[in-house]
Amino acid sequence: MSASVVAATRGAGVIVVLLAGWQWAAGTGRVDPEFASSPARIGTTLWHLLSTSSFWTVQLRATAGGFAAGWSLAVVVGIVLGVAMGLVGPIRDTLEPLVMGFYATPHIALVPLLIVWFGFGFQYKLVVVFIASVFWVLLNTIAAVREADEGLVRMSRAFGATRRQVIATVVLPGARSGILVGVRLSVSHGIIGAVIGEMFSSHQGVGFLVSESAQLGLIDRLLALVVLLAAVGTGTNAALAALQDRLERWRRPDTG
Amino acid sequence: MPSGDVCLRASGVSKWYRSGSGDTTWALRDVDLTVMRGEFVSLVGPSGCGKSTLLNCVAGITAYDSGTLTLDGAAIRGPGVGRAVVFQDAALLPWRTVAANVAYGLAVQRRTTAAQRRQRVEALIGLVGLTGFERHYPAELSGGMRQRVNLARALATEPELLLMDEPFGALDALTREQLQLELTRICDERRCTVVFVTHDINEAAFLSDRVVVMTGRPGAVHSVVDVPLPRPRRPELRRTSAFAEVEGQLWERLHAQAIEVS
Amino acid sequence: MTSGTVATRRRRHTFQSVRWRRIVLGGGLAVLLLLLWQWYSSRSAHNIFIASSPSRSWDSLVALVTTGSFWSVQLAATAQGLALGWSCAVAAGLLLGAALGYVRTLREALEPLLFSINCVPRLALIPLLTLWLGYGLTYKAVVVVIAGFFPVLLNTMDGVRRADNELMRMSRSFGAGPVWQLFTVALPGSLPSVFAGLRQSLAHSVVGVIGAEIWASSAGLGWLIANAELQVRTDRIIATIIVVTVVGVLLNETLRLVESRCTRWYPRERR
Repeated sequence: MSASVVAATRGAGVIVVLLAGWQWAAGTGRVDPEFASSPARIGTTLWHLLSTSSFWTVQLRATAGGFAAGWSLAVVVGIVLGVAMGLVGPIRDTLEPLVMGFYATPHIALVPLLIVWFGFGFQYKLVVVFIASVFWVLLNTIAAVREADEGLVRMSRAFGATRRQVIATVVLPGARSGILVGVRLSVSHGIIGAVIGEMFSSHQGVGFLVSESAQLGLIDRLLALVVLLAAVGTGTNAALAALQDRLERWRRPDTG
Repeated sequence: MPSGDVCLRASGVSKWYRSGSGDTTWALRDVDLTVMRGEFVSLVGPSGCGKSTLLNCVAGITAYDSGTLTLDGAAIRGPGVGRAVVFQDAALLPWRTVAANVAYGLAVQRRTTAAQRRQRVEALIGLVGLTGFERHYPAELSGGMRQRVNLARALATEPELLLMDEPFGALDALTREQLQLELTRICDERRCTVVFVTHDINEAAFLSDRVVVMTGRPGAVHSVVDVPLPRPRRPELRRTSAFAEVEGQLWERLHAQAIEVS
Repeated sequence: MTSGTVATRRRRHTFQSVRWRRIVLGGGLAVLLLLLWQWYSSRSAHNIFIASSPSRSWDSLVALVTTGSFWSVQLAATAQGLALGWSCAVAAGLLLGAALGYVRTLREALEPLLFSINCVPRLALIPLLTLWLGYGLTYKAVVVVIAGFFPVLLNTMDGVRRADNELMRMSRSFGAGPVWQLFTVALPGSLPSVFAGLRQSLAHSVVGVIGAEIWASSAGLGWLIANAELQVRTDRIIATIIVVTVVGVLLNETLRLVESRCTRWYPRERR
């Protein structure tokens, strides 16, 4: 057996053992399942949740809608502003202090403010998701644009390329990968932003379900939702990473 | 200058690797080598001929699979005692000063008191010409200076056998010659026994008492060339006909082993 | 290989002049926006409590900071939770991170588990924790631990794991055993990664404690925000947000200071 297979089984084994132990403890009453739940209960609750149509048509749709709107706006703003700030010094100097100021503010603290300003509706969710996503896109884009390969730039200029040509043919294509990384990271953060936003103030959506489950003391449902969120987060990240790999097959792995 | 008794003896030393599909690659096969105390022996040969592998086995950081390898009669089973290695990479701990780095080997081996360590460190820093740099950090030193610290650290442990693996390979030509000169002076002064790996014929001829030509696939000793040039070795030596003759001999042997292998 | 070579090609600006430009332009923009906001709020008939204004927020801030109970009750409550939680998170993260980074079998066994747990959105666990722990100091501290543990763990693990191969080989050649190697090579070498992890962790921990307080607590900066939200006093919310931000920045800068003291040996390229 190859080393990596051994490692994988070892790792998976630990998880299985822990889950089994938990289940056993809950099943035999060593740990109160009402309080601590159990893998079995979480599983059944999750299944039940996913097979309820209203979950999909009402809750998930609400979250997804808010996410889609806020995120796409964040991506557009992030890339446009990021490229501008990356390329043009004065723009960067003007905006960067403000951007960094907002970045330094713990976003969670802004949520109550947004609730007061935007109420409980769609607008609020859009802004929350926007704030959660935009910085990932923006900061990665700025960095990607600024870190153009010096050797390539020099080569291009040696051929007599104008500044515009250099930007179009070297800087921007080279930045594409970094920008995509920022976009990819912004997805999972945007999703979490949507859920957290809903948690604090909403009457629909996955986040609302979390908050409602807490208020009703439904620990099983809470944990089921948490598991679901974790799965969605990993899933989207993995899928996007794979997508990025495919798009960038020209990029050989860095060997040194 | 060799003094008569045997320091290192290798007899039938072999090392092999088995690949996943069952094929065996011989890194070293039946290597026989004797190094007398006080001798400076170089190992030369093409890339992949096993000279670094042999050095690592002597250093005790790579295990050998068969044969005997003894240092002062005691079989070599692991690193540390009696040997010190100077690698091409200076491997200085970046968070320690020069003085603390030179003391590192001594500290690991725990055979000295702090006061002894301090004394030795001071002496060695002077020996390699770095007085005044004791409190500098590696990041502030040039490549040549770092290798001097590397050498000082190795010598601090007063090893029976000094092992050097292409120590000057990464330096520019000027610094390299400078350090070769320093090395030969230091080794003469302290009567070190040295095994020196290099692919540079000129360097090998200049520094050594004997040069072992190795051949690759499998790694083994092809032939040994004596270098009966006078000591101390001065830079002008490189331009004498006697030196050219030694170099010529070495080239000849290298070509011969290349032809035999192919 | 950095620096915007294209953008700054023709201009040989010194570091100082860039800094001034930032202060002037950036500051100028900020002032402009504040003035616009002030004008908007004084002019329209909008509910002043909701829209608020720079002047009112400033008054609120001053009132807040000059109240004794702010320091002794609210800030203290948050600080307690943060300090308790973060120190636990750091201690656990460093120990486990060093162990996992150094011992391969341990790492292989636990890595999948840790990565799975890492994928769980930590703030979403806050409601659950209120159910289990109420909303006192323990609850707050636990939220902070959950928020701050992973960055320390992962970065420390990474740093120790990437112990410089050449340095390890050198150390072994002198006869150093695994324990010596851990303490003299792997751990000191991992310091840059460890500090990166600490900074990340601190930021997450601040978010954690505030989030926990906003959700459910009886005192603290987050509680102040939630309270102000209920009373629809935007000026108070903004004032508290400013305080929170300042606290966060101060903590971060302190950490950076500590880091620069500990790492004067960094090679030039890295600083």
